[in-house]
Amino acid sequence: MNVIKNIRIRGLDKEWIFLKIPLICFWFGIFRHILSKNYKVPIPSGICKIVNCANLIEGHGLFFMIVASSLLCIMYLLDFKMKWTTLGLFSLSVIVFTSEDSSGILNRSGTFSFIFLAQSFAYWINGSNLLKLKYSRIQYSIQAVVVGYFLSGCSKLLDSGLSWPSDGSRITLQVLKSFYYHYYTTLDSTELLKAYEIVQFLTESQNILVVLLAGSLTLELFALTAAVNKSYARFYGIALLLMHIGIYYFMDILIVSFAVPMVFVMINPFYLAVFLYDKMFKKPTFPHTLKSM
Amino acid sequence: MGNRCKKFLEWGISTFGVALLYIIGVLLFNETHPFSRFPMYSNFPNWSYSFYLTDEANEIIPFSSLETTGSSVGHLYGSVSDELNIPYGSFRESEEELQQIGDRMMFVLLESNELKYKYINLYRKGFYYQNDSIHDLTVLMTSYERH
Repeated sequence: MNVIKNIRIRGLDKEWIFLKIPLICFWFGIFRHILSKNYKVPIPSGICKIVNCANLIEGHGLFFMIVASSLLCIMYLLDFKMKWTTLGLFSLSVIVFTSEDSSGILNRSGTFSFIFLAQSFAYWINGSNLLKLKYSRIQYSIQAVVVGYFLSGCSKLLDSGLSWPSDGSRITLQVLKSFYYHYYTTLDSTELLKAYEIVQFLTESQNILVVLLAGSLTLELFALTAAVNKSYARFYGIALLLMHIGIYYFMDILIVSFAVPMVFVMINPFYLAVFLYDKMFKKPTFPHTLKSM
Repeated sequence: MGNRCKKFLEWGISTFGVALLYIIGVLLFNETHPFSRFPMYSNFPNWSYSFYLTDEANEIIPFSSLETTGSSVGHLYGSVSDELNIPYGSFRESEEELQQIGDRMMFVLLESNELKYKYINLYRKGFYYQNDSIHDLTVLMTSYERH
């Protein structure tokens, strides 16, 4: 029994390592990018209404943020004092992302911050039970991701009702807007050519559009089911990734704050690649998951 | 039976508890980071806006030269309108309101970016459906001159 438990823990450890390394690297990249933007927080929202976020992202505050975030990232990678490390990462994440929101750029990157809080819950609640902890820090992260999709689906139902997919013909206006955004950013005129091609395609293919929108709404509404089983979450993640690829192709929109954590947490591509490599070359590194895959 | 209920409740909390907490957070704090109900594209109104800048020769200035993006400026329009309590969308904004929003947008944009141009116009280009075809309407929101 203990042998099985140890094998299971080893497998979960590997899954966790392949989840946390890309996640923290990407988070740190975005974090530094926001800090480099020299935001002045002119429209305070959220925590920036209480705390003067501008002082925290420039001058000495900026230095503190960079040092603190670098230290916390190292501690996170080393699994050191994780109860506090994850809580610290959550706090810094909230301050910096809210500063961005407070500069008029409402990117809705809540998933990025909330994942660290979810992981913190796992350490605080299940700290005394090793197997439970190692399972829950991944499962809670999955919950933090899928709840965003679920709420997005609920918003569509609340704002438009069940007719959301059939109202989709006017999505072409959003497509135009999005491609024009890119055009005005770079002045690359191929963006406009692509925009009008896609608008024409969508106008002529109303039935396909309704099916695609209905499919994505269904995926969002049932996203919480992915929290039930980790292997199922992987397949659900691949379906969500296909949805994001479709949105990117047709609307030139990549919702980084949604898609990237989803890929790292739900699909865990690096773990999957190693798992498949081991399976193909008959190195049973992850015996506990062979059945569930 | 009681044991079964307890086990089911425990399973429910451990499987969906974190998600439930987030939903409660959204209900309590609304659109406050990290909470959001993610309403992006939750409806498809008969309007969409994009924005661009031009120089004194009325040539378009790419947003990349101001280290921002068209999408960020689009977000900024919504945030500034909310800040100024001006309802926006469906081309309902008056000229004065557009000027007010435009002035504030320019202030925010130039606050964190160095201005390399002497003169800047901010335009709003809007799209809408009329008689099953897409039309566009461009309006000058504001002009800014460096002194």
